[in-house]
Amino acid sequence: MATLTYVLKRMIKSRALLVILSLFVAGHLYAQGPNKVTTYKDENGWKLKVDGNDFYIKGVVWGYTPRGETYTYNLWAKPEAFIKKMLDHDFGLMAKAGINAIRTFTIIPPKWVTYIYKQHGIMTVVNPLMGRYGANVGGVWRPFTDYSDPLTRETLKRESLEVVKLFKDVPGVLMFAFGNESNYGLSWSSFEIENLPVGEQQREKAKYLYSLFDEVITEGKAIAPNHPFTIVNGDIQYLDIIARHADNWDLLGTNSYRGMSFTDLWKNVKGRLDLPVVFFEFGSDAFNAKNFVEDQAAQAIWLKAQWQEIFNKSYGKGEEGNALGGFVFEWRDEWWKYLQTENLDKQDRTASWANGGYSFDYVEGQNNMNEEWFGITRLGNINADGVYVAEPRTAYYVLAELFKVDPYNDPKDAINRRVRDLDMEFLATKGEVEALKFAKQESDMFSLEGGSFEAKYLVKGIESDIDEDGEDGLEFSDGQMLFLDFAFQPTKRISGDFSINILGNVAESDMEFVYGDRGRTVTVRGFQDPFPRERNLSVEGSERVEIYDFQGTYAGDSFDLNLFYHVPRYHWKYEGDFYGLLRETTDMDGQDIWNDKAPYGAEIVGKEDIDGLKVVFGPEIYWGANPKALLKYEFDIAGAEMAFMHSEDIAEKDSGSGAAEATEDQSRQTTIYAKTEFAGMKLELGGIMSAGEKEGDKYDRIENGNVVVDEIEFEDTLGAKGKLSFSPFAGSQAYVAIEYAGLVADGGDPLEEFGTQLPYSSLGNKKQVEGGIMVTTGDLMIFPRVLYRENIVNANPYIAPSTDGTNFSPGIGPRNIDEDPFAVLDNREAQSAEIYFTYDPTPASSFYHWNVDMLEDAEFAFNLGLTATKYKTATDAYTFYLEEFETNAAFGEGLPEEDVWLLKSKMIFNPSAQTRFIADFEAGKQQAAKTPVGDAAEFYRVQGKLILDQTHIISGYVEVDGFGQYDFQEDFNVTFPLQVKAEYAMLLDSFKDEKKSSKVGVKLLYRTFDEDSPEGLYEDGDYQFEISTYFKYSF
Amino acid sequence: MIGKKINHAQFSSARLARILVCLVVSGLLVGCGVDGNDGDIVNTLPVPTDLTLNLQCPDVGINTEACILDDPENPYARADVSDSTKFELAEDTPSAKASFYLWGTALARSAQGENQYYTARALHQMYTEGGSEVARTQAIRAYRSVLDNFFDSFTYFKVELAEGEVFISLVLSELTGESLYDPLELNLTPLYNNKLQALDAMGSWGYNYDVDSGVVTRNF
Repeated sequence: MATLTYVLKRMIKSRALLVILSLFVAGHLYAQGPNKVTTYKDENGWKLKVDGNDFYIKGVVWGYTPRGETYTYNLWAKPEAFIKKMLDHDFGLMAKAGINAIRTFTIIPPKWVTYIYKQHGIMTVVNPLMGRYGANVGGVWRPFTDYSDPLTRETLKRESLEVVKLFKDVPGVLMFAFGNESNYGLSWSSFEIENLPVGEQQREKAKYLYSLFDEVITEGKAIAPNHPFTIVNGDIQYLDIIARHADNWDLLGTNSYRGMSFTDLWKNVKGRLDLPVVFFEFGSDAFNAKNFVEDQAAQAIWLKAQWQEIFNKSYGKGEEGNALGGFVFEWRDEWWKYLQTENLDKQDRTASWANGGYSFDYVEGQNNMNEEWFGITRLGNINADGVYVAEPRTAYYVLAELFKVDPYNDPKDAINRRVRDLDMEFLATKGEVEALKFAKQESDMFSLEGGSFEAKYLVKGIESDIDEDGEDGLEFSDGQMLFLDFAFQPTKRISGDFSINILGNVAESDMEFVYGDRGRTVTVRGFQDPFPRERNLSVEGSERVEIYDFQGTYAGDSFDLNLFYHVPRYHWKYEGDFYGLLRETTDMDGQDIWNDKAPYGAEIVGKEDIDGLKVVFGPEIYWGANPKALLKYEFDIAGAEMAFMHSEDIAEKDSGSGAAEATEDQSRQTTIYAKTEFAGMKLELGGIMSAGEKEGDKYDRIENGNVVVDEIEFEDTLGAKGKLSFSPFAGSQAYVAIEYAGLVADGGDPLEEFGTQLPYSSLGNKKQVEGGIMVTTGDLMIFPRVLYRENIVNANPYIAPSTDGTNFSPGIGPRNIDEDPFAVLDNREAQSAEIYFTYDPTPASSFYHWNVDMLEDAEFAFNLGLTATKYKTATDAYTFYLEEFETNAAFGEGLPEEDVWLLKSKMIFNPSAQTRFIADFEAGKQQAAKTPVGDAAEFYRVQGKLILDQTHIISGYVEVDGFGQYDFQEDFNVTFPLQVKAEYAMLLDSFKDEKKSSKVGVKLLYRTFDEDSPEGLYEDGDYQFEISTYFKYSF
Repeated sequence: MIGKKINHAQFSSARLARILVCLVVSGLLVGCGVDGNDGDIVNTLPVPTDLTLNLQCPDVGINTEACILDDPENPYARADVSDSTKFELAEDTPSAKASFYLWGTALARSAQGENQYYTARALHQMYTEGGSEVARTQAIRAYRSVLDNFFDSFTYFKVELAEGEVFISLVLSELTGESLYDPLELNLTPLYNNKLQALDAMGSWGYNYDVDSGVVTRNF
């Protein structure tokens, strides 16, 4: 015992006990209550102290976005167990390297700030962005924050101070910082500022910005006196203005990308501000844009030099003494950053900005900064916990060595010696070993990336068979399907991936079309009329294996070439395609059931001297497109954004897309677009010249009771439209738009936003006016819209032809787009009004995002909309594709005049982070899409999905008197008295993603028939059902 | 303080003027368009009754050529010539040439065997009535098109019986064989100098005509 006492005394003296105790109480070492963080200054310079102890910021900018996700990914909505695994992975690795603080662009919930601190000893900067990337002000989303607007200032201040109140007593908070390079985002326009010279405009705006920062910091410090406050400035721009507002600030936060050295930054700050400096971003990317390869060494060398300078500018080094450390940008690569919504599962190698400070890959006139390569770790593969791992680069190992330095207390020469003596070769080897592992996984010339195996067992029955044969009337079938995903990268500049689908048996569903139906026994109908001969043909073996999708990229210096085959592609409507000539193709499931393979083609994206140019061409660049080439060039004239586009069909598609979608004539369009903003308003103007090949084509119409034959003339190919968007009062956004389109001035898909169901049309032959106003009050948005449209030439009635002796009365009939230069179809005269109510307390996750079902993070959000349309005239005849004859055919008549309405609502409930319920309601009176047969009918539909514990998914729908689930059923007015679907699926792995996960499930389909249902089915009984069980294993 | 540097009144007027110009231009765009006074009134068209066959293009009347729709002499080009109207219109055609345009139009619109056969019959009738060599040659090509493109096709005749209407189907290949081999039975002038030549012609196309049964079979 005496020996033990002696040992303990010795240990206390030598402080060894403290070390041992700290090991036992790991996780409880750090303060249980809020930290007191202060700055300290004496004649040797500045220090930062946490709870009275020196604290030098050895930080990184941290975030977690898995592959395939973008900035909307919300880690904090995941199950707690997963969050812990994720944080333990990242912060464990950080702690090993001596990283002691992080900065993030999102607000980490308080409990996790404390968790990170207590478990890993890493502190967090709370950093409200204060409208840097837009703000919701008065309920209206404003993409360009106007810091001079009183309501905006009041809103941003209130929100920021609420954050301060929330975090002021949270253990692990290092400091509060506001904005992010907000001085680079002074983009608003106003009457007061716009007529100043450009330079003065920015300075005037900056004054508003910094005065607001000062107000927030001054009031924030009164709320949280135990933490430092600062801003995140873009370098040290407007230092003179900052100096006028910084009396209450504790330090200057700045993002600086000056290269190896921060040059005169230290001196300038010291000269103008009596504040220490913290870098909230600095660093280097790890990609060499000149050689087009990953360049770990360059990143490590740049970071080493930057940190050495920071250390030398610290307390007691005889220089400025105003460096408190910084946050390296960034912890891990982010694959969403370039293009942000595209190629999310690929690491893009496009350099998007230029910086001469990074001489290792700088070439004058060329971009060299690769946004997706700034991590000191890579975004690796997913591990068993479902976490995409951080794979260290050389820079990580270099920082781990550098962070052994105590910049406050180590002598300057000792620091510089340590830095100089760093064994960069050894550290590079460590990084290269990781790189080799990564390359093995990611960059093999050709590699199998994964895949899935699916098996299905199906039982089906129809009333007549069951009545006749009892249980023997049921039919059983099974199906198997294998997907294999491959990637390739034969050279530095060429990469891509593709999937192969292999079919086994195919379950013989009668109620659903599914991908893989190509493997079913097909009935081929002889096309020799009038007695079609039918015979069954078994599928050819070769059809059981096919390339499901493919994409490849050549990344060049002056252009990128992207090849695409059945991978989602987006429209260009937000980049100058005012007429929507390039249609979006994202409904891959919708195509799969018909085994269509759009989009299929190639895209050239210009860089450098041809920046702004895009060319896309191919056999089917969007679903249903003729083989065509499309060119777009964006440019500026006098501050107005302009875009020129030309689309040229090279041939006519040789078969219809989908079930019976008619092919379109070969055609061409040319458009011009201009957008300018002034006085808070946005004006967009566009013109189109379309279908010039139809000039001289004849068409007929009824005029004053006479049949008139006319010709398409040049002016019939022209169209123009304009749209003015403005805010008539606080909390509102309004627009008015007018359009004229000549008889054949057909465009593409109009831009439809915020869930509108107004009857837009891509066709010409119209004069159209529309308008709407979005009013937001609190969390409720009300958006009424109206649309009025007339035709230049109306649809034709039917007057039968007749002969009287040697005189023939040709009569007249509905036109169709196959035989006439134009037809009045969905562009017919319409008077439509709509109102949508949207309640969404978390507008950052837009309720009208295509994936809102999964992204909405409010506890409860909903919308409710009613659209009513009066069609005062009939249409001409629609066409459809007749597969047996490989040609289009026209319905004999058009749709009659009708009044229709549609009521829609979506509700999303998130009662907890792991439970979600989505309900969709729809009721309405709608016409068939194409056939004149049958009346418009009222229908009712309820659809729901319940996700429990992010594992159990219960979904289904009930529809009364609705069309079937496929477009062709709406085209041909096929309805069912009752349709029911009920499905249960259980996710089996850590992806927790309905699409990607392994899963097992069961699905029931049931429907009843009446005289409006398919004739063959109605004759077979009153109902039909199918039950299928399935299993999917993803690997 | 900023207001010292600008004249609000002038500024606002300039902005207002720009907006007004945009709106006026846009309004003009919406207001323009065809005035509806162009075009030709075509309530009635003369039906050709002559026997001169002017070929709009070499393959006029032969599947799949549709140039007959561009023939200025064709009164049916823009009319509803479809399954529901063509037989009624055919009953009222005043001439073989009119019949040719009618069935040729039907063929151009819908590739059916009976449309091709009746186009051939109309050409044959023109030859019968006027002796036009052009009509004879084109009729032979049209008959061959029936065999080449619509070998299994039928046409129907409606027969009024006491019990009601009855439709009788006729095999177009057999009608074609008869029209070529023994057109006199159909009150048409032979297209060949003799029946053997007709059989030889069909044989060279790959078909056999059984003179007893009237059945046409393929040689390939």
